[in-house]
Amino acid sequence: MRLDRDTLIRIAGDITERDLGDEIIVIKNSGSEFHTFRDTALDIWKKAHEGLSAGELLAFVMKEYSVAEDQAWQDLVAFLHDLDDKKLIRD
Amino acid sequence: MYGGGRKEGEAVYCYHLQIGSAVCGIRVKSSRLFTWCEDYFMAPSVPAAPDMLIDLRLARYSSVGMVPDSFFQSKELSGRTFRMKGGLIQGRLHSRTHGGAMRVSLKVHPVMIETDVSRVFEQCLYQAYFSILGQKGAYAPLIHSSGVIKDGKGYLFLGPSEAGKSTVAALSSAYQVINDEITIADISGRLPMLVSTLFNGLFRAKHPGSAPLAGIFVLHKSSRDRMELLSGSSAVRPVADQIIPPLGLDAQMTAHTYFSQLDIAAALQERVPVYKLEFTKSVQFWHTISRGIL
Repeated sequence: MRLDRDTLIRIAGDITERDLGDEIIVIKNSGSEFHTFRDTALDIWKKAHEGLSAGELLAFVMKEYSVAEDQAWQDLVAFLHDLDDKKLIRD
Repeated sequence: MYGGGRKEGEAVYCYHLQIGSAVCGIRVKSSRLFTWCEDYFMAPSVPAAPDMLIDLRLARYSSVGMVPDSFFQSKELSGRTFRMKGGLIQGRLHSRTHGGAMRVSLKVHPVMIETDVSRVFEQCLYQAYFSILGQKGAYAPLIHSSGVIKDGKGYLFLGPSEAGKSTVAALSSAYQVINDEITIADISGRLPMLVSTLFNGLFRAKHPGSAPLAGIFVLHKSSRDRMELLSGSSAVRPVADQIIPPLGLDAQMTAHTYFSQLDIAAALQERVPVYKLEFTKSVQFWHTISRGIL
């Protein structure tokens, strides 16, 4: 996935998830593994459901966690690439 | 036919196994197998009419592979015909009922009955139970747990293998230990109930019964006795992990099966407090529970 701040992040269509409050569990409908998100990952995952761009997600992270832009972007890109590797998002 | 017990004239014997609100009638053509059922489950056949009739027969095979840990994951399905782990257990869930009871034909390798791996065979009966529940629509999961009734209240202890379920049972002999392996948390009625099963763990002196479920305890062996109320995923996940996959004989395990377990665990947690219980190998943990729940 090519990622820049204009890239629209969309949750993959073939997943199922359960919200346990402080944790979300996600599986690919075609797969056998499940993935769990807590803390920052949980917040970003929930926010990503709004169909935002990477730049808008970056603004969310900077505001919520008072993180410098460079650091926040670096962390966000790593997380989004991870989601992409697991085919949990599509651009 | 449905009274259960020995039927010498017909040379058919039917052992009625009570599993919560369900009754499985295990029909065999050998008195030895009937006696095996009585001895294995340490209980006589119950007089209730069965919800399912399982025609069980032993089949000889030239060779046997490894006995699997789980018959849930090794099951192959073709319509209503199932085959578990290369044919150690083969069967068919018939579409036609018999006198109102579901019917299953089951061919089992003797290794599943005659050796120490009989507990793995029980997983086939778990699936029979869920096939019956699917028909009745009940909401009474089987949970890998120890169950104890004390002062009219039910206490359910769970955790992964070696967490201490059997230790808890052994330390609770002053009370009514209903099982140290598989119990039922029945949330289909007004009051959540802890219900015994006849499935086998290490603790053989079990005393069947049921009681309103006062609490679920996630076991952690420790050097101190302490309990803490859990919430959110800390409560739901460990319970879900110990819920037996709610799959009938004609259902296949998928990744989504775990979500069924999570949903059941979440429903349980809404109605019954879930605690983390750190405990030493002493009866002191009962004092901790008494203090913590009051």
